Amino acid sequence: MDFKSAGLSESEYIRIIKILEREPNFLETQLIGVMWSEHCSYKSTKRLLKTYPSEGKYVLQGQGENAGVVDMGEGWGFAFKAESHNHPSAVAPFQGAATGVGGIIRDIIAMGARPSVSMDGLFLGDPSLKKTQNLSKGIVEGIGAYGNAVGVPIVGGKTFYSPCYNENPLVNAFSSGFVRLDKMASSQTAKKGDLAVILGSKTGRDGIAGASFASRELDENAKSSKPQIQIGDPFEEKLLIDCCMDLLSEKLIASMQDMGAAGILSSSSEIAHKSGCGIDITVENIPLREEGMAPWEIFLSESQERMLLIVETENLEQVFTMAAHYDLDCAVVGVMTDPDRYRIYDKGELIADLPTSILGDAPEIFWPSAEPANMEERASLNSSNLICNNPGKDLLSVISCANGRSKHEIWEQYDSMVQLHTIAGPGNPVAVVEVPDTDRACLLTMEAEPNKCWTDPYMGAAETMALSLRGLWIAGAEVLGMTNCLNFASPEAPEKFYELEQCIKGLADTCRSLDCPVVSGNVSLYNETASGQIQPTPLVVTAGLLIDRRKRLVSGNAMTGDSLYLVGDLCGSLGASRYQVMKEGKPSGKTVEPNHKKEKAFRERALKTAADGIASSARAIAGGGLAAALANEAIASDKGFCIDFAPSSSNEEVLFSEGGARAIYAVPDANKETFEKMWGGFPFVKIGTVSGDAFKWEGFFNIPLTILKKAFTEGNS
Amino acid sequence: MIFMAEVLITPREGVLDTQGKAVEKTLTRLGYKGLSEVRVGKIVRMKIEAAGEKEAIVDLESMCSDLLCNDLVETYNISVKEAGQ
Amino acid sequence: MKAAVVVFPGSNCDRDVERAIRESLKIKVEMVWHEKEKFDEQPDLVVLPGGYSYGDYLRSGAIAARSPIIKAVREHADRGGLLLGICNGFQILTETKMLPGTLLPNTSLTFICRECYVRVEQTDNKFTSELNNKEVLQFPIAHHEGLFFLPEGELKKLEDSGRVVFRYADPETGKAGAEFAPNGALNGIAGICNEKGNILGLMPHPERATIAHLNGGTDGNRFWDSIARTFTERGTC
Repeated sequence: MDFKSAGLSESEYIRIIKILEREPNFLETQLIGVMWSEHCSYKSTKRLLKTYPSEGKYVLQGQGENAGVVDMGEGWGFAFKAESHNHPSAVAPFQGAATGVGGIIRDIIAMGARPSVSMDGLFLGDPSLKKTQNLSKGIVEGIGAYGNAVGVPIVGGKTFYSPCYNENPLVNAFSSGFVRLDKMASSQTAKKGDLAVILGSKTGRDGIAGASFASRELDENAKSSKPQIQIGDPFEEKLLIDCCMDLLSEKLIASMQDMGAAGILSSSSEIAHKSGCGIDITVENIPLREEGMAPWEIFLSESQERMLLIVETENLEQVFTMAAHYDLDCAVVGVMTDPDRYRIYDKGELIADLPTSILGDAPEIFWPSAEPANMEERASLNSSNLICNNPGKDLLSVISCANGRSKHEIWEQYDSMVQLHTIAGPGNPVAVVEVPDTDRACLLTMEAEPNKCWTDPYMGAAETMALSLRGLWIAGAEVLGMTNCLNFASPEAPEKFYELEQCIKGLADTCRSLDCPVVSGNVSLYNETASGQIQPTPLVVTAGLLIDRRKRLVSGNAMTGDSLYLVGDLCGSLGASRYQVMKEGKPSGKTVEPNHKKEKAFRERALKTAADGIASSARAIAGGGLAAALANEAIASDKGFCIDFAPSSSNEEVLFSEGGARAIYAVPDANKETFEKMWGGFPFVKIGTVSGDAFKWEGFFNIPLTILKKAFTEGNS
Repeated sequence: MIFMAEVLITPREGVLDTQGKAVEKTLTRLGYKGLSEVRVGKIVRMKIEAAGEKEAIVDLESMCSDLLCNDLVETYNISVKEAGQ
Repeated sequence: MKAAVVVFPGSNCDRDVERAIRESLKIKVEMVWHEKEKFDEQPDLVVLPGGYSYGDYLRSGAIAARSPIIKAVREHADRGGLLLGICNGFQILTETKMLPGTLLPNTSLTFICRECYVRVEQTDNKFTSELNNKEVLQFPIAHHEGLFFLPEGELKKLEDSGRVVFRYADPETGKAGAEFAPNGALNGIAGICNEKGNILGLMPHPERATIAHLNGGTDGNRFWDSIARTFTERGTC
């Protein structure tokens, strides 16, 4: 049997024969091959992901479901997840990105939640390259075309440029939704005798074996693999959302699962496996869009906009009626049976007969790990290259470079307001939406620091995670949990596996000690081409809750006369900072050492500052350092800042160093004393006041607000 | 009889065709010379059963005015050929 | 006043406009599925909401304009009832020919979502009569096909008959015109009405400028108020 074309190794094939006590037939080999692919099975990372803290007082559903769910209170759950769609977007940017949005939305539906909020993490190559511009245009249009039509607002995101993504751009789609706790759906609640129903699009040849496509490097043949790219139809998806919401509110669905990677096969086998059942599927009952499809094609097809519903027989008629109302295809394709049998029938003939467990439990792979030979070189910083002689010019470069400038040209192409619940949309450090029919607000931060993860995977990932938490703390939100998308190169290279392992450790340690459970996630490996590998790119999205949305401390609201404070250490690290990369062209030097004790001290004070309403505005210090944070805050507040603080460290360290628990606050005079008392025991210093119409820093620069704004909004290109 | 029909829909003369303009601009930027009046339209293709070609065309014209074409900004061109049995 | 929102497959601002009207005017709003041939209870105001009815396939609004409910919508307007089309709803109204013109793709050929200012150009209709003439309001926009187009002669007729209700404007100077249109709309036209003044179509979204704690502002409430007051003071017909 040709097990290699099914993506199986020889040892895996031998293992299969041992379990089955026979050779699998062609169809069975294909089925197992796809379910054992990296994309479906997480066989290289499963053991690493187990190190994540999964428990937390707000966690209602942790890893292992279609999406994690946290408790927003007053009967509301919040389902959220991030997922990569990297390989498809590299080959067909518009459709790849669009179907990425569609796919993650169906994960949210599968939890019973109405998809409410999306975000996107884009990692693009050198912005001056034509190729990057074309990819970027296609990706952004694809996300917009799908998200706008399906009516889920895109309220924020992260766009990051680095030449390491020239050939291999990353598209990470995040979606989330609110669900009444008594309406939550699950993929683990099917029972023997229930019927398996496919709702939505007919099955075609598109996206056949997309899962195994995503489980290898992008090669020269990538272009010829275009037929594998799925085509998205947001109109169908909108109907699917509306129909599923109606079915759930009538309690007509016993269990459900979206059809993502490996389509019918993975959804049906997972639902059976997780529910402790078996399933019999009848091929000829599956609605097809094309003639002459072979069973393996039907089972592996990744046609979009389909859901697998498990329905009790007595509810079937009502399900059909609802589907007809929305003009959606709906067909009974199988029945749940006794445990551990996955059987496929074709016109009465049994053509595949496997234990469901063989599909659900791929053998793990233990790749060797070795510290990269050039780790020391990556981590060392040559400070003589970084001297800042012209602070004003350097600041303008830092806020106008591709990674520093406003991304409004991207996010204005996304509908960020549909569904009428956006409190703070794109362009804000924290995205904020209402929790339906309450005074509560849900807050989200999305962060990624690939340069810092390159120079030190552990510390870079730790800083990424901490950054996402600080944004929530400053706003005054309780942290509920996080989801992550781990984008890495091939795990088969020991150095790359090391990066992966260290990044996960950095995230896990930070989450554990700062009380942020990991509720869902996705791993995308093999992000490399003949011309190179991507930098380690863990992306995190963290969700927070404000019980009273009026108590949110906003950014961009500094008031004339306010005092400006820096809280936290005067300097972070220039290592792998935006400034360092700008000066040297590539990242080098470590970011700051994680300090959880300090983070906790910061958290306590930040939360209290927000809750007591004593500051007008605040902003975490992130990319571009203190100078960029002040500049961004001045621009967003439309106010001049006058800084009279003479630091003792070098210009560049004071202005542009990054990392660590640091923030700026604008505090009205009347509250200065309270503020200073509140931050007692933590480093803080008053650095200036809000006044005038320029960003003025004694001894450094005096830049009119208009010039600052122009640099930020128009960029330097 | 069964016919293969094709309805070609293009923006009317004089109507602002934003897509056509963008395509023309980009093609020119790519070095293609001497371009003008680039128009972007669409094709609707279908199998249609009718007594004869004339009847098919009458049907298609009616479809155009009922749905396929917005006569304020678009014009259409119908072509029909026999599809055999 | 009784209001109804028509829901087409692919509408996505239906629930938004329902909430905005309900919260702003404290009235109940009926949702009506497009396959219905008549309204259960005759509404005073019918809203065609924004979104991507039928995926905006073929042309924005084209397929929705051929829905069963449209006959009842037309009869409602013929009787003098208030008919409001927002964004995709405006596109549907032009496709039904209840309003003149059409909405072409934005000049940028991109979707544009942002805050947007419009100036009230006339108050002699059933929607803006309680607003101030030349008042500038902020209603966010979110569309890909918002370039209002009419052939020159007809455009002049529309202008001359004073049926341009909203025009894109600059909030600083209060000036309005084509140069302030984010989408290339001819003469900067953002919203128009029919001769009787009981049908209004506009591209910007007043419902997104209604709920105070959200990020779209509150100018929409002035618009909803105006409709309600017109109705209670003068009746619909």
